[in-house]
Amino acid sequence: MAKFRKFIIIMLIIGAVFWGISIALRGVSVGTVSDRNNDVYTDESRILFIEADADEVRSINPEYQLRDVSTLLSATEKEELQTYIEKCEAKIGCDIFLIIGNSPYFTKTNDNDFDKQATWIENWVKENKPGWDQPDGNVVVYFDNWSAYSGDSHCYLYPFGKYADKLPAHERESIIDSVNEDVNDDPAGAYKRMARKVTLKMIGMGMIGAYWPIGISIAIALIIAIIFMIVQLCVNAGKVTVDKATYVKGGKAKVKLSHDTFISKHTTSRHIERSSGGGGGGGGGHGGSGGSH
Amino acid sequence: MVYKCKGCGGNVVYSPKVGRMVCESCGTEDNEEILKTEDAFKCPSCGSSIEVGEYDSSCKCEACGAPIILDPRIEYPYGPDLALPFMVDKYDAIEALRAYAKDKLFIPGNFINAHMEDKLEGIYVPFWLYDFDTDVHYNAIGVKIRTWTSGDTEYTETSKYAVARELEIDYSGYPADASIKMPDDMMDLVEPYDYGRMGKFDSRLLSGFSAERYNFDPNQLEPRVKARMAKDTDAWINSTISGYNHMEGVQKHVNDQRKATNFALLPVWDYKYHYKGKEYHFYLNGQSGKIVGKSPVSPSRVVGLTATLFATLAIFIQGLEQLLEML
Repeated sequence: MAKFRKFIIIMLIIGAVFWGISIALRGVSVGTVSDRNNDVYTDESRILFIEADADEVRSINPEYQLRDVSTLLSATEKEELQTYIEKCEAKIGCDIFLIIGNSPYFTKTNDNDFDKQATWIENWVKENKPGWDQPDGNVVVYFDNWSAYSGDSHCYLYPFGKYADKLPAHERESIIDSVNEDVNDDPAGAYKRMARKVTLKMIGMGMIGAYWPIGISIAIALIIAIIFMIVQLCVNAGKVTVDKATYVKGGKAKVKLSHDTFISKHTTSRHIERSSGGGGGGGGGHGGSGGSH
Repeated sequence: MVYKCKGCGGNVVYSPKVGRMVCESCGTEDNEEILKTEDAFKCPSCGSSIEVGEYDSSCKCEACGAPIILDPRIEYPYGPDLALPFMVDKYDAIEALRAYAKDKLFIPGNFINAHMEDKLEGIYVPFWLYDFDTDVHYNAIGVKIRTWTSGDTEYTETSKYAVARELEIDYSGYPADASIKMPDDMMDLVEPYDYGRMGKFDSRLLSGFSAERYNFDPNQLEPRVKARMAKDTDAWINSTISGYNHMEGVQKHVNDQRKATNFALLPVWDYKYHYKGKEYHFYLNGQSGKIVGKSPVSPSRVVGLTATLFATLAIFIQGLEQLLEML
């Protein structure tokens, strides 16, 4: 019992130290985050849909099929994502926008051609003046353009304001790559990861930046606690403290004969089937970074 | 019979602490005399009839508390050959139980209580100690398998050896408790005893403790001992064989020849603990202090401690997440 009590106290102290250090680091990293201060852009929605006009698109090319991006996220997913983004914003003092489009206008024509998306974002920010601290202030825009007709969708991450320097090109690319890993299968999860990673890059020191939801912490704690309980409940009546030598005179058996005589040897062989495979990657420039999925 | 103090007439009992007979009244050491009655089942001290179990050979007079030794049950054919005196006294036993309970998280809080002394009984448990000469003849095919890969081909080489072993094992003092009331598994677990401190039986050792004559004769317990010895014999055989993946066609002939059997009394403290209408026994080796017994579980402690651990771990893991998030 004393050992258990000691263990609990030590774990609580270490846990408290972890919390304390993280709170202190957060204070050092982002300072005190004040309330949002922007009376120009007051719309609370952070998930925006920019849908192209179907007739206009077909007038350019009758074969164009526009993807219905409004169904990418269910109502619940949208609500959860909005709430999550709001939490992230409050942590770092920065507006985070997720803009989902489907316009063929943004289709790139070469590997580094993200200019159309970048320009569109710049204009949108200039026009609407979002920002947490002030109009045209701290903003991060993630623009994901789902273009079904070409089979290639493009995305762009563009930070503005005081955190722009905290998201250099390689960091932006790593966030985009991380989102694109499974955005086609789980857009809600991928966009949530985007918001989380943006937040981590802003507030963290960038060395580890690990994250797991609180549910995982609870699940791990629960599993360990249950295993501990089961182990404690399965304690035996006592340990066996005798062995083969305990009741043998001199503690040793007399080996009168010990022979190992070789009889035979045979070797078999079988052919091993082998298989092979491969993979690839992407990039971007400008004030933001782009990628494809 | 009863051991009485020559000086004050008080009861004299064997003290594990000093390893001598000590008067309970005046504390004088080794100054005892025997008080006997014609009827062994009457207390020599107060004359009351003694109610004892079928196998009891030593007990306490319920009327006056005198430590009675029942002569007919320690004489031929029930006379023990050997006895190992208690080396752990009652207070050391209580301390050992306290330490034991500290390590058991789910044991009820009142396991350690003010009445432990009354629930603790020192018993000389009857054991048969067997001496056996065991001859082992072992023959088998030892199989060694070696696998390696060269290019796109995997090779497996199987080598076979004729393995022959002959062993002579001199088992000495292999114990089996000869008491019905003591559970065999617990008595096996409470071992080992250091026989180096064992001497010829002396009835004075029983004074102040409970004791039993044997409940079984050695032939009845021999199969149990042989079953235990068979496991040891296998372990000895296996200790001489190494380097094989497996053995085939094992032929094993074991001949256990009983050489001698001794009837010995070995010391055990029995702590009876009642919890939720059930009686739990904890047995403590009267020589080494080793404790065995199935602990009762307090449901409130299980819930409380598991919840505490869960909450602590959750705080710790989430704190770790917060820190790693920042780093």
